[in-house]
Amino acid sequence: MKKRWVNVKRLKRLMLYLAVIAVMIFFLFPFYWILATSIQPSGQLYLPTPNFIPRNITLQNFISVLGGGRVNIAIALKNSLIVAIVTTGACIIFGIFAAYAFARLKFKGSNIMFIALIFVEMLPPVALLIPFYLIFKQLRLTNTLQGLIILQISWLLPIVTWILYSYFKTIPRDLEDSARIDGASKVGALMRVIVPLSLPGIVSAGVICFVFSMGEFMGAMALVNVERTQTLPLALAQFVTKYQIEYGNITASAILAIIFPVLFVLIFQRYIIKGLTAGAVKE
Amino acid sequence: MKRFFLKLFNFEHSNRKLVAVLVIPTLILVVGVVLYPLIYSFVMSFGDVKFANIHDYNFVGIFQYVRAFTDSAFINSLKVSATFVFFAVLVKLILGILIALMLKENFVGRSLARALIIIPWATPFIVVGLMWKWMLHSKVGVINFLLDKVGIIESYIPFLSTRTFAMPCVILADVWQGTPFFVIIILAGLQTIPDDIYEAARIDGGGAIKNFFYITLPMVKFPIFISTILGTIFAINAFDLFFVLTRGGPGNITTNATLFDWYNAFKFYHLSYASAISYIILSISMTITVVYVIILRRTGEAQ
Repeated sequence: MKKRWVNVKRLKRLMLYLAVIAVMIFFLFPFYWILATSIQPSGQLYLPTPNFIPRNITLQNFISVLGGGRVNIAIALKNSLIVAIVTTGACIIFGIFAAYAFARLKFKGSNIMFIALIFVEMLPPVALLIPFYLIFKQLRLTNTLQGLIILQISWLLPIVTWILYSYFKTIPRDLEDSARIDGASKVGALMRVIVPLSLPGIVSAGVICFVFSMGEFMGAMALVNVERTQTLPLALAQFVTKYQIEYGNITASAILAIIFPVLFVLIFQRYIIKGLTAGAVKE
Repeated sequence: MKRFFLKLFNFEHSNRKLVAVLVIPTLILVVGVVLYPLIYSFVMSFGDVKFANIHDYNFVGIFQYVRAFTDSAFINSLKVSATFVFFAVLVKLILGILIALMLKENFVGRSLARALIIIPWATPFIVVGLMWKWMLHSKVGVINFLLDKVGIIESYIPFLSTRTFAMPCVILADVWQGTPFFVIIILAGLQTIPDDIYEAARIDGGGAIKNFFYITLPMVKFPIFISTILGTIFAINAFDLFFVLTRGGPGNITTNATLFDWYNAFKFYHLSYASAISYIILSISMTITVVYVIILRRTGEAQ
């Protein structure tokens, strides 16, 4: 009797490990596959039996896309990073301001404004594209990085504010009050008490903002149609639309496009989980 | 001058001034860059604006809306959206719950697995699309190779240009990218369930399946609900994956409402018609958001 119970338990463990392995293969194999593709010469890519272990390893594809091939990935990577960094910085600063006001200072209309923010976050981007395009054209902001940055800040600021708001809410009011008694000004209390204590939340909001910014495609496609200011998603989409698909170059560019978001997410994964679940889990 | 600035930035006596300074940047951006365009396109949807001369505005009332609902291509795109939303969200939800339960168990490498599973979420949709396009390649795709090797298919299938498989393939890519988000939210919910509840249930003699339906599921009702609503809104707005994987084809079998809208705006330059369609999509999203906000506020008050 006892022996059988042990066996059932062992079987359960075995099934758990098999499930874990299957799930991890499903989610990680595509990354392995594009990495393997990107480091092989194109002659190795169109074989009847694909190389599960890369052969004739080369960095030729990376050199080709970074060295100004048909689609210039180096410029796109630079543009994407500039847009993402400026957007994230601005969203964090404005987000801290707004989130603090919503979380701590009860003011007339704060509730309505906060709900409005959630609604803005939920708006279908496609509904904004036509007016964006026409307005930005009049302001001569199409085909500029400034235009992309303004567009992305307005799309990402609501979600950043929302994450920071739910973080600020968890910080005990007493800490701020005692800083005030010690003579700190209101702004001083925000900067010296709230901001340092919510650093995990700020990091989380920042990384989430950065990830969304690096991946934004639809707005960039509406606003930019020159190589000089195109971002990585645009450059990648061009491989599909304008030229014959060359998967060695594509996968090399894809690796360059995901390397920063993926590294940040892995480094800060604990914070990000907290940020993503802000408001979704009752505590 | 210096005194003026000192006074301007002295917030000690007035909360209102501080609020104004803190909220105004966000307000300007959100109102200027979101609200104004929304009104702009609302006005445009009641006119007949051509791209050639955008200042030539003829008021045509609800003509564009009537046109949309009598346009079989638009009705079809709504059906495509509905199919995509339904299956993508359903699969992500089921997988999300199962994987979250799995990652709650104790096993060697659990924290590594939890960290790695977020990576697909951080991958830009365009890259996700290209990744799966490569793996689903009709001649040298690894998926065709493996299915053929195992004997599931007899000859290679051009998945993305086949009527039966195009939509399931887009859903597959979307499930791959979006499931981690469901896992993260549901797992966070699972972790708030105290262990003694299961302990009590074990003493009472409840089985694993009974435990799941009577304890686990009710306790993570809220995270499940939130992830479903957010997932639904993301799925309605899905664009990038369709754009890269199928471009709406073959035929119009994967042209969802967002893609249809985009084609009308930026390919055919029917600005007014596209604006009307935008507003129809927006009304659907906003209805869902209203439900979301009501529930958020209710649970907020219950706390």
